[in-house]
Amino acid sequence: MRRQLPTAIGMVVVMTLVCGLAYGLALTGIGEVAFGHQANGSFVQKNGKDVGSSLIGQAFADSKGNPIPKYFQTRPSEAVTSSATGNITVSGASNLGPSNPLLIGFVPGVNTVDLKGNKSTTNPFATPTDPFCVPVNTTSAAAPVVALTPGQKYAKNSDGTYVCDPNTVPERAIAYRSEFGLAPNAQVPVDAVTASGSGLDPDISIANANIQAPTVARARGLALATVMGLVEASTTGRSLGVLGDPGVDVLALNIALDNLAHK
Amino acid sequence: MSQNVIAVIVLVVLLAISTPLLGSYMAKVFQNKKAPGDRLFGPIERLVYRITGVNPESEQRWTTYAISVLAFSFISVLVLYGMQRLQAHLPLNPDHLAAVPPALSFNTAVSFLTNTNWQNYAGEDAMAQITQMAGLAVQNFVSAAVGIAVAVALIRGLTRKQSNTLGNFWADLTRIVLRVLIPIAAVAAVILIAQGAEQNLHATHMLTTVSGQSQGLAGGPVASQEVIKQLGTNGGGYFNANAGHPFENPTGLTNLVLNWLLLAIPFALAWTFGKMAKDRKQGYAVLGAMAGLFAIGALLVMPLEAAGNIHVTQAHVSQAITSTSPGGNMEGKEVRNGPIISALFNSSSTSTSTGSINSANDSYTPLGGGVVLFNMMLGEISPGGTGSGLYGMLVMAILAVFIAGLMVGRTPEYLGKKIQAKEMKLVVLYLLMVPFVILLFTAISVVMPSSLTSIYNPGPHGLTEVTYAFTSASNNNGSAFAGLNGNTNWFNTTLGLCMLVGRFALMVPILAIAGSLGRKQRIPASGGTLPTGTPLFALMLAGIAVIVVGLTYFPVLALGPIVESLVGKF
Repeated sequence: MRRQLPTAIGMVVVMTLVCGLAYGLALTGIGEVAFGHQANGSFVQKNGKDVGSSLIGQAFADSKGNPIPKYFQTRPSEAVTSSATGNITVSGASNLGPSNPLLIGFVPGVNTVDLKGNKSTTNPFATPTDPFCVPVNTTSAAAPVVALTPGQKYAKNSDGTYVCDPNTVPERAIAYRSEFGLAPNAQVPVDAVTASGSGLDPDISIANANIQAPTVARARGLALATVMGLVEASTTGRSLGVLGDPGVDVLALNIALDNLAHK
Repeated sequence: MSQNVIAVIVLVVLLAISTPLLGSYMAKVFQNKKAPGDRLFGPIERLVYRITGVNPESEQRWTTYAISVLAFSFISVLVLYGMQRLQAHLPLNPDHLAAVPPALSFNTAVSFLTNTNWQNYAGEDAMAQITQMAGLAVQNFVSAAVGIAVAVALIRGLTRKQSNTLGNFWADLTRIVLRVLIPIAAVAAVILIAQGAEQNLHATHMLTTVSGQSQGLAGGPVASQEVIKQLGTNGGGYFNANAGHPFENPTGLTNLVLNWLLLAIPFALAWTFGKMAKDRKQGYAVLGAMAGLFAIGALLVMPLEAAGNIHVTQAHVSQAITSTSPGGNMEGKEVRNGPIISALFNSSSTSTSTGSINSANDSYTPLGGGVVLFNMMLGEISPGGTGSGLYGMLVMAILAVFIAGLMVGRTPEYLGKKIQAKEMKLVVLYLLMVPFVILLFTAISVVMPSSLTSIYNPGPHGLTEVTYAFTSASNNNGSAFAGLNGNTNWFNTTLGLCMLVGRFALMVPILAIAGSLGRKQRIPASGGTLPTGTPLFALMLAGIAVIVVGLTYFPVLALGPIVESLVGKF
């Protein structure tokens, strides 16, 4: 061991210089010179200011978090602002398991319990609109309650029905239908009601964009054909025609709509 | 959908081309033969040897080789730990990130040292650019090279005749890094940057979005680290979302490149083995077993994820795959990748010891998640990590000839080397070590009240989370069912321990086997010798691997994913 340790120290130093600094800095230089826009984060501008990156999704919501009707909406997101630095956006997924009530709601016969927390084949919180309703507590945070205990208090609406956690897939689907004028129980594209792995998915499916288009057109007083034209122009195809899945770049689409209004 | 099938075929074709090319090239590099690039790499190598005082011609016995591995790893872990603790005082920390806490620094240092890359932090707001580039990325290179070096030492032990030595670790390490890893990584990184992966040294860019919210987009040397974390089957993402983050993996093309990178070396090493054994059929048999096991995993996960989550269907959400919708189980997946390509990526990443993900494993369907777990339980041999995959499979091959020998009552041989009691004891040690720590720590974790609070999803899914964590750490994979909160003293310590066991408690027996076999004579094949370069042997090899794993882990798999699937009516 004693004979190999000095060599080990030398080797760690050399490898740090070669694989760490030389390799990393050389590529940074190449990126800066040959692909400056991409290497620096593919930022996009509006009125001369950076408003985002063409690769990173962003919410189009007002200060209360409600969607703004004149904009196409991105997917639900689990990205958060760093608690350590207070400003950096930290990517991430929900990590909810496929049978977790926080994801699929209380599905009768699968994960439902009665008010005491015992296994049950019906959902005691079911509302006329949402048979899979997950209740929330009465604190100001209105946190969802999935581990039920006797004595727990649940928030209720004025009509006596339970308030449901708005982040389950069934609740998101209900909100999506009312936002974009779909009939109850109309099919909703899956990407519209699920969070992506990064929380920064810049794309939505074409089906999702097609459903949103009439609402956006109405909010802006534009012809549907005009909006659909921009949807098509903002659709990113598969790389080389076969790799990956196509999607609609929401930021590019919304900026194009805003630019239309300025003309 | 049909395009997705073509994308899968494109990957298979790329691997079919790269395996023989890269495999033959590596055989030349490891045997110090004339190889392309000699004029470029020769002088750099000699400079490295001069600085570090290494004589590349001086061959080492297995004990010295093992001590060199341990000494290099010991210094590495100290440097990596120190760098995290001191990052606030180092240059290239534009966001002024604070020092990483001690327990987390230890866990991360061990994790990158052992090629595991289990991450109990989010890269965005925990690791300074200097730590990522000059610390974590360096281990991505060298931990991969160490794995390959140990595999090469085992090949030498199997193929040399009456030799006391296995080569020189320092020379092997240098040649692998300079001639194999850096060139491939550099080319791939340029492709990634051109497609949109970040590569800069800027501080976080604070901007106001179109609707007036603030967004803080982290900068960093991302692409350069992204490619080596795939090529070296490390898996530790620059950002929290790993290869799901658009700055790491922006397009369908980059996803293909990253998927190829993580499979390229593990498959090619089987070819290298055949070359160095001067019997290509031996390489084919190992390659066949690896590819077969890999294909089974991937072909199971892809349709399971494409079919989606039945309970989402009940809420009138369409998971049909059409020309306008990716469909499938999209929780935790990106639109640009879709369910099928995402599943292929995560299956590849758990079949190798990479553990990088482009979609959230925790949100996979119960059986889809079960298959990626099983991929790791195979012991990372399908095709496994860089180096560790090959030596794991060669251990299985020794076990296979031993079992065959028991059946016919003859002393087993592999490549003309007699397999005797000494080797078999080491093989059994190798095979039992990992299941022992996985099952022991999982069992303790699910009865200890303090560790139970770390579990995020209730019921059998929670058991899967814990099993997955220990399996991932012990097999040096590093992917996570991320619902588990691993950043506690109990998990940081036990997972760190598992990673060390899964790395060094396996490498030392491997080098001991190599040393013991290297000293033996090569005996000519006779009528009673089991031919090991045949499709039948490849089948037997894969079968033995599945049986060993099945017998060890079936109970815990039954209580986790299988119960969840049945009870949850999936």
